[in-house]
Amino acid sequence: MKIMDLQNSLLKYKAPLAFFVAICILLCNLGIGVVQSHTAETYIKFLGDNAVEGLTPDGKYPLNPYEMTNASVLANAMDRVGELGDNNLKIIEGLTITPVVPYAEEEKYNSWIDSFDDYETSEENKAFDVYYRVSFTSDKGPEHARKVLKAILEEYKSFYVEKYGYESDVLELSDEAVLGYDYFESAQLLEAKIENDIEYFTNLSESDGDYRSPSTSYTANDIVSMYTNLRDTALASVYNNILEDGIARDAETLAANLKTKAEEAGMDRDRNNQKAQTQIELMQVYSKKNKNYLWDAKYADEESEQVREDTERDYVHSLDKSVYDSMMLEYSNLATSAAYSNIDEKYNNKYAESFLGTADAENASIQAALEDICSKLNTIHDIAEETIEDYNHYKSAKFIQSITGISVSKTMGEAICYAATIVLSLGLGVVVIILTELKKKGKI
Amino acid sequence: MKIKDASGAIKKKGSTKEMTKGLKVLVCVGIIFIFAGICTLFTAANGTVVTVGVRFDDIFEGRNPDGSPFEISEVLSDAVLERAIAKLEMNVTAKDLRRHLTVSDLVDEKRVEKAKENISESRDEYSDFPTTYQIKYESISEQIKNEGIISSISVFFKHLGMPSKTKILETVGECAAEVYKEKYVIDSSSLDINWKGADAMDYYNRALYVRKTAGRISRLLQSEYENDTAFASKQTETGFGDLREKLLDIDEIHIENFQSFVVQNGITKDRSALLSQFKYMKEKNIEINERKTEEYKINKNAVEIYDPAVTKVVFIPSIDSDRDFYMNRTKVGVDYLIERADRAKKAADDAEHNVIMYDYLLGKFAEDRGASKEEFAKADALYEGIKTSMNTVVEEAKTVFEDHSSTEYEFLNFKKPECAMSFMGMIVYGGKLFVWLLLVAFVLVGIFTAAYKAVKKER
Repeated sequence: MKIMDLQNSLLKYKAPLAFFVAICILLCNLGIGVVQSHTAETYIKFLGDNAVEGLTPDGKYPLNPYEMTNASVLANAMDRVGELGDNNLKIIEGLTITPVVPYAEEEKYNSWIDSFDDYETSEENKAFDVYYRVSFTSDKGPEHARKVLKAILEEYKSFYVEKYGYESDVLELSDEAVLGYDYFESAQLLEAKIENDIEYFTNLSESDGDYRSPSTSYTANDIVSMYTNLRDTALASVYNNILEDGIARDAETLAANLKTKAEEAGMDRDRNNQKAQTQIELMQVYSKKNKNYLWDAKYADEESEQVREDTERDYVHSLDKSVYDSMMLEYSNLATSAAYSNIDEKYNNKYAESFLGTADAENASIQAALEDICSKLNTIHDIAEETIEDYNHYKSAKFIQSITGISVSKTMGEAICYAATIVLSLGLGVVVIILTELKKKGKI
Repeated sequence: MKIKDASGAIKKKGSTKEMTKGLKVLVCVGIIFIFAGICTLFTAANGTVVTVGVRFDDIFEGRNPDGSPFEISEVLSDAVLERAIAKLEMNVTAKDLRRHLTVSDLVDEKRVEKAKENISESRDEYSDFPTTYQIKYESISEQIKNEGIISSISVFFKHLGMPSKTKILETVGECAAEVYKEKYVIDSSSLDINWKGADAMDYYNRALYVRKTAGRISRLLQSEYENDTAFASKQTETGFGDLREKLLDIDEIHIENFQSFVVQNGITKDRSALLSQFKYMKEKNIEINERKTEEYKINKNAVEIYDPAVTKVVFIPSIDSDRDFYMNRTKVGVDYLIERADRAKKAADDAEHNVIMYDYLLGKFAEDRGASKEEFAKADALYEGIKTSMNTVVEEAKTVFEDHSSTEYEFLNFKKPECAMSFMGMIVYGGKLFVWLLLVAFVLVGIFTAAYKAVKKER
């Protein structure tokens, strides 16, 4: 009986029920439109041996992908998207970075946790994460989420190379800066600049000698070749003329300057020699004393007595050299420095001699020669700069790799929402109808 | 008031009423259906897409041909868009045009999930970088919608005066392919030789300069050869390897001859300048030799006084380059010192060798060795000969380069543009819209009926 009644009452109220369900669906639709957001996600990997050790490529800092939320990265990214503004906080809220731990590592780690007393060792030995999932959630539509995530990743890659990859930079030489001095000093400045750039590119050719810039077609070696050509022909000739004939705008000042440099070099030599001597003395004392502690001659044949097994390896210390070795290398540095200063003194004195007693003169041909070298240097510099730009762009591929593309999906499952709405509204409607009917029949 | 006639009479009246009602409903539904259809067509017409296939090997690692990271957004860079705008003769800025354009990876959740699975299974070499992309041009894109309704309307009207979406996408595609190629293919202009600069130099320096240039170009040809060993230009029937051979021959014979002739006969345009140059280089190398010799002595001495008993030596198992195990001694101070000494000695030796060389050159170009007019003329002739033969090779190389870049490289392949919404997409979209409109109509009718009944009751 009850069921028949139910069916009848439902049929009676079918219109309001349908109406109610329809309104609920529309409200659900509206609600989704307001609340729905889209999430763009992708996976990246940090490359290189240093990354596996949890360090940045230069080995100096711990790897920290959360630097992506750095203010400059975000500002540049939003500029790229075309939305400059100070809603950085909102962007940070939408950005999620999670490491991806391989199953094997998880299992390994969990088994360590079980044997609790190994906790400390296991923390140290836990592998560093190199894979990360990066996602960005936006309420401005799927394209917005994709664009922002893409921009942030691109900016982060450049930021990463800039911060941890660059060793130094090749700087532009301004003519006024170099030519404003006396001829000899200008020549010295030019030489120093060229030597600096040669060193930079030689280092580059040692790590990435094969890289050929697509814009200039030059490799690092090609550029070194250009610089050495300039240094060993035009510059050499000018230098020699200046020294041989003692050409200077203000010979007296120059000679005095050089003499001072010579004297300073002499003092440096003496100081460094003394320091080197101290190192030697310390090392002798050290080695004498240490021999007693380190190696007990009584047990010379039984190594097991000397070496203690199962000690925790002091990871950081093992990377540095021992105290004795550090002292020895320091001695080598100081003594070499002193020797160089000695040679500096000799040569500065020799240069000073060339300018003693010569008349001050403007020399147009020397000036012209120096200007010519300057302009040739700037030509080479333009090529060098373009090559480095390409190289730095290339380098970022060695540090961070995108494993997948960017996929965008709705954060909230719409089908479930609608299904839930229909079921709930139907249910609610039916319940209300039953209650109304029961009330009408006076049973409540 | 009910007319209790023969029961048929009521039914008849009722059925007519029902039929009219049914007809009304059908008409309404029909109108909604047509309306939904029109909206769908409008939305479909809003966007056009073009698929881009990336066609070079490095893309699988996510890299450009030169090894830098591949970024599909380069396809919509200012350089590309400005070129496209110029071609289409439109009057917008690159930034404006970009508001209508979006680029997608065509990667869905499932594909990313699969990648995550592979990573979690410790497949370290796994990479699923997308090689196909889609560029969409929409009259009213999401970005414009976000800017507001006024912006959308103004854009709509502006759009009526612009070329068709298909044309725009085709042009953008062409320009993107061009710009990309120009960026990553080495231009044949890198083969140019600065003869003007060389002519201004003294004979000896000229020989060195031309030598270095020949070296640079032959290295360039070598790397192009390694990229594409089999290629031979149809016009010249030579490949990069052949050109490199020709260049090396010129270097080993002609330039070598020229250089030795100049040196043996002391031919120089500006004797004092050249001698200056050699004198300075000799002095400089003497200085370098001094410095490096000192450094060598110091480090060697340090090795002598190093007390090995202080540093305990440990052997650790290592793998050598053939993947064989051996016991390696850990590095201690002596090792670093010896390395330093070795480097210093090598540099000192090089400098010493250079001093000898410059002494030799100073002798050859000394004052009392004046060259005769005939010898000068001969040197000039030899130089002109080098110029001619090198220019011939460079011309040929340029042809080969240009042939190669036009036939072999198709980095980005743009397909024909098509409608943004597929047929299935339109049906799904239209269907959803239809259901939504029906519900709204139903609700509205319900509200009206209820309100009408309520008003009627009051009366």
